[in-house]
Amino acid sequence: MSDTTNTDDVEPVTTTIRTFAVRRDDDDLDVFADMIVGLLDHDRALVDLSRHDQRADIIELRVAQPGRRSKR
Amino acid sequence: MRNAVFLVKNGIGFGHIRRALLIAEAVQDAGRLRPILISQAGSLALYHNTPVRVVNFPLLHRVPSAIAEDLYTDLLNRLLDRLDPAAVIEDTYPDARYRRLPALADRPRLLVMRRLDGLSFDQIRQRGDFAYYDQILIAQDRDAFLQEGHSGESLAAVESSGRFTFVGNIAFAPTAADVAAARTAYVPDGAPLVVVNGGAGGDQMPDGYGDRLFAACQTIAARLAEEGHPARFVLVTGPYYAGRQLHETANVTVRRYEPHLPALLAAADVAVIKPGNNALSEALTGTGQLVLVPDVSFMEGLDEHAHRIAAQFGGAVGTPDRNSLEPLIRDALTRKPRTARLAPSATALDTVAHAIHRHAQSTPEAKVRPKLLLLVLIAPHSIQPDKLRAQLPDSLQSAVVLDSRQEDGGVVGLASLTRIMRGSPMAALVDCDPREVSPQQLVDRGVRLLIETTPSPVVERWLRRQPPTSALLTTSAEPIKAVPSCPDAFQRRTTRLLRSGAAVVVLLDLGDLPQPAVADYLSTIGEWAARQPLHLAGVDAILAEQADRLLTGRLG
Repeated sequence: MSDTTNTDDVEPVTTTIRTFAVRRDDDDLDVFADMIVGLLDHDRALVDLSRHDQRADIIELRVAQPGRRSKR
Repeated sequence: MRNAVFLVKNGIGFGHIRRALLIAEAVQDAGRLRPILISQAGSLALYHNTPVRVVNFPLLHRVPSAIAEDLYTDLLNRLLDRLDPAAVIEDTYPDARYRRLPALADRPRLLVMRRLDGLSFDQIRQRGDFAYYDQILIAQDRDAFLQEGHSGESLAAVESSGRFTFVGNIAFAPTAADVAAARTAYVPDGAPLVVVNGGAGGDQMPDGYGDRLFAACQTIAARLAEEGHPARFVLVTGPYYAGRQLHETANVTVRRYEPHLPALLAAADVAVIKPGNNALSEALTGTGQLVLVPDVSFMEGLDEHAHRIAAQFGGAVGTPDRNSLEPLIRDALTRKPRTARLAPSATALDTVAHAIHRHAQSTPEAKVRPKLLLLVLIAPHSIQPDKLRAQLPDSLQSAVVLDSRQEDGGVVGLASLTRIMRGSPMAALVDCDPREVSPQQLVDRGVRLLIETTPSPVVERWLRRQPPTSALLTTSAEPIKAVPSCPDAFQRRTTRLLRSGAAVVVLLDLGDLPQPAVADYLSTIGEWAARQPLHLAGVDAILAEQADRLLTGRLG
């Protein structure tokens, strides 16, 4: 008998490539947006902005590792 | 290549994202637009294998601070501004957040809708949320939509506004090879296969639906194993499942996420499912017996839907507990394969992709629509309506002659309705007490629009007390008596009416004209109308105007 509920690897592996500080005015949102648009130049890009710290003061910009994705 | 942006979010399930991905992949395959999916989702599992570009945000209404929510919204706007989408496609729930984004203003916008219960559809319609879309594509066929219990106003809006299109169900259809592979993977020995799935595993209410469903099925599987029953259970919990830990046993396999779930559901001998659109569609492509376990649903009316499906395709409806499910699963395991199947629409994806491409095409210039005039002529006694219609000058070919034989878009007087049985009039003029017939009888004859010259409490009560299945929309008409040698009276009145309204119905009574004067009179007003910035509209255009008002929150 084995417990598998939380052992399936269902999420693509993603890597943080930069963060954005929500409450600091020296972090430029235009640069952040440009970076995301640049990432979308790549085929099959998967960009994840859903991760942040507990108070959502720091937003992570994560991308999926290319090797994890293949056309079905 | 221009971008087509899909805006989609999922709180507890995967349905919206799966549908959006199917459409986006069809658009990508067509090679004319670059689809980009912008989602709000807690899991990226569905994006493992898609070739479509994805930007995933958190569920914006759930981020822990208003400042972060504002920042994410600002970022979304800047992103959309840079992507400059040629078309924007949303799924099912019109979202006020998107509506307020400056970057989306004045873009071609489409809404793809899955089934909604009647009350929810009414609420969205009455809030005016549908009015922001150029086209609304309903992922159902018309007959299925009519079974949902929608209000007469909603049916009228869908039928006549010109904004809605039925495209048929959109769901992934596994191939026979996929289904065979799923059986080989899970029951290589050919044992009966029971697949249990509650969608992506999230709960609409804090009632532990998933926990109760899977715990019950695990217990039932254990009891069958004790009896030596060969059935094998596969529990696909979904990544949002947060119930008790489940344990694999000799006859139980547990998966948080199964990328081949459509094939697995189609391969099942018994599918125990929450009857959301995807799981149900996929199970219906197969021949397994259905045990439908509706959960509290958001705008879907799953309980009623489950009973309708069970009656139509066979199957049973239960609750997520052992006492309910054990006899249903045992019974289902004794039954032969289900014969009533439902394949997803073969044309739905193409229809949606075509609509996206059509709206994404840039038009050389936007055109302001001219004012609309529905001119209904009442023939003089000396001329039969059909004869008058045949004599209309070219400039008045779009005018309608009351009680004339007209295949499409005719207008009949209620007083003549029982006498004139030919044709299918689209509108009826209230020219007598309406209570001789019921509103439903009019609708059954094809009438969709009532034309009144004065608002009548009798008509209002008549409509309210016997509401037909599809609402009869009403419009007012200006009665004008044609005066011999004085066509300018008609011209002045019509001009005044059109000054304050975009669409006007005029009831022009030619009864006082001597027969020889009719042709000249009509030629004069026809030539005048041709010189004006107006369009002689048919009944369908006025009906569409009225139906569109049902989408803007001004009526209904």
